[in-house]
Amino acid sequence: MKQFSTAELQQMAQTLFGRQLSDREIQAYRGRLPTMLRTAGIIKDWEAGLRDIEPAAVHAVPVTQPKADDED
Amino acid sequence: MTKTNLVDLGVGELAPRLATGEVSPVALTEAVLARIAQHNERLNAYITVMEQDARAAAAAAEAGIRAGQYLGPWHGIPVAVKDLYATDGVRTTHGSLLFADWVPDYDASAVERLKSAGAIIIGKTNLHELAYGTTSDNAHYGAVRNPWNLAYHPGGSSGGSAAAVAGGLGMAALGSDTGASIRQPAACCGVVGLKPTYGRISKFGALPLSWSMDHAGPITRSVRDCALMLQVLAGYDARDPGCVDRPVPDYVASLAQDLRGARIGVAREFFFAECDTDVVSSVEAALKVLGELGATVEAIKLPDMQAAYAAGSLMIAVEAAAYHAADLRERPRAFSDELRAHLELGSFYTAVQYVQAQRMRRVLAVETQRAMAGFDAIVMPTVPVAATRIGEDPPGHVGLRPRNTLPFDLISLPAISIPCGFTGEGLPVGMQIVGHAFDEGGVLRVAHAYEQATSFHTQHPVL
Repeated sequence: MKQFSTAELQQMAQTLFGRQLSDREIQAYRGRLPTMLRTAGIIKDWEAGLRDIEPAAVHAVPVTQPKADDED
Repeated sequence: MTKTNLVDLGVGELAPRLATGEVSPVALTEAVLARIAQHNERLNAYITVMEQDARAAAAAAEAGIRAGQYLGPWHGIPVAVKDLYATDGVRTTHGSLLFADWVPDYDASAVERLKSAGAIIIGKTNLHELAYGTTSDNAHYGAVRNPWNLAYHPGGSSGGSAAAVAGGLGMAALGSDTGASIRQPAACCGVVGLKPTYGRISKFGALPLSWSMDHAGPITRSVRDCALMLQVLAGYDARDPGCVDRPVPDYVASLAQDLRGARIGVAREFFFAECDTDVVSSVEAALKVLGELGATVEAIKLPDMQAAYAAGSLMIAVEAAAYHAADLRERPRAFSDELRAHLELGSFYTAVQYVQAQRMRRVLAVETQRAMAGFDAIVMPTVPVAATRIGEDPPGHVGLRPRNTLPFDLISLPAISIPCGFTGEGLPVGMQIVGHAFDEGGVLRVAHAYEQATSFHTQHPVL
């Protein structure tokens, strides 16, 4: 796996997450940032092909049982 | 029959003996408690052992069976529960300091179902902190150890459940799986672990990690025991908004079908890449066995699984960050440094990226279903790499451990891990079998046929 410099990670975080990371943050997250940046890159690569695609359902319509005192 | 013999038996073997009174639930429970007393200090599989409750439940089971009120194959069987599930009156830590003293006043749905079936809850198993990780090296409750080699991790996050089952410290266990957490520890510990279709088992009372990716499921010593446990756990529960109301088939009946005429796909492109050679050779040998059993084994081309992995890992990161946001802000020191950094990073992804991942999920699910048409199941290694030494994390292993399992949490297909070999170091290797949505019976069929033709499931670690 390529070892990124602090400056490279800062540049990628700005591009993909819209965040400016301090040197301290880069050090704290260095182990996981490259994978996250690669993930964000894959998502970006897919965007153009998703034009007519609706998101997968992550919402279920709540179904509640009527309470006894709601009944006439 | 000695106590040692008793804990070596499977649920399917014990059940008829318990039903007739040949085996006593009290004796069985004492045998498991003795095994826990002897080995848990080293294995660290349990956070809480429920001696008193288990003894009372065993006595009640014995009385019930004697009175002719036998409830079925789980009546009198000691079962371990991952400490992610609420247990009425019993501390439920979720492997976290946040919940170190939490004693729920209700049972999780899966626990309720096991109790209703007569199972004896023997204890709460250790796990990776808040179920977010794949080694079960818990900063607060200590590292769980792999029964096959105590220097090695057992996988995670349901590492305590898998270690308990493998070591005979419980006849079966509840686990949960968001990216790997049932199947990967099952593979590392040489036992069976099933992640069902999303919505098949209620998650009510289980701490969420990622709502849209979380699954409840069994960890057992054999495929038959897995089918028996799924039979009890599956079914609708209105308290879980993701739970699906559809009939529960007879899973044990599906084990009777052999593999003649079955068509099994081998997904090499993504799932065999980056695997250790011992893992590949074990799974290749297993494919030969499936062919000898009458199945047609052929290559299958699936959609972009690297993208499925990316979308799924993003979803877990974002949803976990959302669930724990308030505690992260107000009680940051209650999290280990590792998990705190992990959760903070989840909030880096943008809302747009999360929605794009959900759009990718729809495409990948449809394309996978299309690719699987005409196949009964697809197979691949459960984990590309075997367990490693506790405290050592070779480069890339964080990503490799859930690599082959996480895509099926995203796509929500049922998937089982069964033992299929050992590495040169004597650590178990698992094979994953994936089926069509809600066709857990089809997955169990293939797994059972393979298991009956091999002896890996009969080998137990010496503690």
